Amino acid sequence: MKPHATAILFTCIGFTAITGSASLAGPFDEPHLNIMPRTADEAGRIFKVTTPTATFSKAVRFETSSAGAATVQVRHSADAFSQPTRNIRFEDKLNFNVGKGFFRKLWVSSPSSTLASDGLGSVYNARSCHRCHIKNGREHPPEDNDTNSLSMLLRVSIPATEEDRFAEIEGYIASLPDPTYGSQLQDFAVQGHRAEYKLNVRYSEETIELSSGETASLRHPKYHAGTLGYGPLHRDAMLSPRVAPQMIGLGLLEAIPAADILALADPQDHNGDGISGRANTV
Amino acid sequence: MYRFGNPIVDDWEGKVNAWPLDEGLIDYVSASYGGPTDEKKFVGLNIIANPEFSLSGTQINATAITPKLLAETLHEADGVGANVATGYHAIEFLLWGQDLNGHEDGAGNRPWTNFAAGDACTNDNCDRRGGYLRAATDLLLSELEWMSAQWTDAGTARASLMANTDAGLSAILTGMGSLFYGEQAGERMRLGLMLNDPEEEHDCFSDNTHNSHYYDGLGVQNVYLGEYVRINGVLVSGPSLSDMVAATDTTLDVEMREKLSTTMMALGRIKTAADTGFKYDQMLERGNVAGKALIMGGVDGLVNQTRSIERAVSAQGLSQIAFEGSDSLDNSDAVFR
Repeated sequence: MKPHATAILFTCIGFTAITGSASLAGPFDEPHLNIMPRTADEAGRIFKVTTPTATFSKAVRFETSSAGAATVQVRHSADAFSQPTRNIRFEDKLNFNVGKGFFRKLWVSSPSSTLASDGLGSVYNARSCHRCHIKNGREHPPEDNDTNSLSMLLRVSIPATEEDRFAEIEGYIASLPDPTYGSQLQDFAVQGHRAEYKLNVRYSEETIELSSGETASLRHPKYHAGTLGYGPLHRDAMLSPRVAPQMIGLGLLEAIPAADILALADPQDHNGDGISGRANTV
Repeated sequence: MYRFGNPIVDDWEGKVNAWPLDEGLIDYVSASYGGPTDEKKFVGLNIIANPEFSLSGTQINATAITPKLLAETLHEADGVGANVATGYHAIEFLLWGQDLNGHEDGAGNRPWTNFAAGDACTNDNCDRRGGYLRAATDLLLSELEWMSAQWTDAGTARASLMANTDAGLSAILTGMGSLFYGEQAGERMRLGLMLNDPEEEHDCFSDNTHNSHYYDGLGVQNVYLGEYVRINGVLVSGPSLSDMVAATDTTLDVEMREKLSTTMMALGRIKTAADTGFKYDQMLERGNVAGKALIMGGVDGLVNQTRSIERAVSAQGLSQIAFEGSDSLDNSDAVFR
C-alpha cells in the first residue's frame, strides 16, 4: 500500500498557531493552513536574515528572537510550552484555545452520552493527546518497575516487499504493520478487553573509565513487549521504542513553506556541506 | 479563578471535575445510545454490576466499593491524570442518569427504584449502586476538604499566591483571562457548539450547564469586585482588584466593570432561557439559530472581557512578572518584522 497524502510535515490538528508562509499549488499545497503569501521582497528579506553567519565572535543579530515577532519569551511555569506564537492575533486565540481543548479532551468508552467524545478503545495508549504529550513537553521512558508506561510506547513493523516501496522517493525503506498488532502496541483496553502488551524496560549499568581515573556509569535500556494479549508478534517483527515528543515549535515548523524544505533537501550533497537531506513525504 | 498559574488547584481539578465521564464503566448505559454493535456485548461490564472485572488485562476486585477503590485502584489501572469515574459528574450521573433526549426537551431521568431495597430494585445491584454513590460522594467531600485546607491561613495554596505580591496579582489577573478565554469560552462553550453534540455540555445528565457557566462568570466578577453574596443573602466585601486598577486608570476600571456586566448579561440570558425550558443541550443543536446566538453571546462577552484584562495586566506593570527577557521585545531592532 502506498501513501497518497502529501502533507509534508507532521502536524498536530488545531494546536499550532500559524504566522504565515508561502503558498504552493499542487501536491504540496497546505490547505489546512491560513497562509499569507510571501512577496518577493519579503522572501528576499527572510533569506538575508536567515542566512547562517560565518563569524562567531559576537551574537548574531536577531539571535534572541529566533522566530522573529513570533518568538515566545521564557516563562517559569508548567505552561511554558503551551503558548501560542507571540504575534498571534487576539481573535485567533480562540482557535488556539479550541484546538487546545481538543488536545486535552478525554475520550470514553462507547456507548456513552457524549456522542462526540466516546469511541475510546477497544485498546488504546491514552485517553487524550495531552496524556502522553503532557504540558506539550518531551516525555520520558518508564523507570524500572513502573506500573505503566504512559508517554512511551513500542512501534512495531515487519519488513516490506519490493512492491510496497514508495517508488517516488529514492532510498525509501518501506515496512508494513504487524499483521495482528498493527503499527503501534497499546497497553490499555476498555473494560472486558485485553490490553495488547505491557512495556517492560530493564536497565543495566555499565561503568566506563575516564581518562583521568574517574568513572562514569552508563545505563543500557532493554525493551521488551511483555504480556502479549493477542498471541505472538510476527516472527520478523521489529520494535522501536518511542517517547512522546514535545509539541513546542510545531507552529514554527509548520510556518516553513514546503518549497523551502524541498529546495534545501540536497539529497546528493551537491553543495558539499556534508548534509544530504531527504524530505520525508507522509 | 485561582486555578490557573496555581498547580495546587490545577493539578487537582481533574479529580473532581473530569469530563466527559466514563459512565459505561460505572453503571448500566443505554445500548440504544449508539456505538458499534460489537461493543454492545460489553455494555454490562461495569463496576456496579460486577464485583470482579478486568481492565487492560488487570483483574480488579470491586467487591467493596470504597473511596480508596475509586481513587486509587481504578485510577492506577487506567493511568489517566483526570479520574473519569469519580467527581461531580459521577455523582450527577448516579443521581440523574443518562439524558436520552438528544436535542429534545428533558434531562436524565433515573428512577428512584435504581436505589430501592429488595424487590422494588430496578436495573439490579441497587445496594452496589448506593455504595458507589456513597463512595464517590465521600471521596468528593474529602477532596473539597483538602482544597479548603490549602486556602486556610497556613494553607499551601494561599502561601504560594501570597509569597510575592506582584506575582500573586499577576496570577489572579492572568487566571481571570485563562478561565474566560481559554477554558470557558474555548473549551467549554465554543467546542460544544462546533461538535453540535447535545451532551457536549458541562452538566449533561442534569441539564444544569447554564448554571455552571453563569456562576463561573459570576465567580470572576466577584473576584474583580472583591465581593460575594452568601447563600443567606449577606454581602461579603473587601479591597478589590477593581480598586487597584482604578487607582492607576479609572477609565480602564470602568471598562472592566462594564465588560464584566455585559458578560454576565449574556450568561444570564442563557440561564433565563434554560430556566424557562430552553435547555443548553437544545441550544447546541445544529441549525438552532437562537441557541447559537445565545451561546456565542456568552463566548463573545468572555473573549472581549479578556482584552481588558490584558490591558489591566500591563497597566499594573505586571506583565514583566510572567515573562523573562521581555526587554528584547521592547527593542525593535531585536525583532525583524
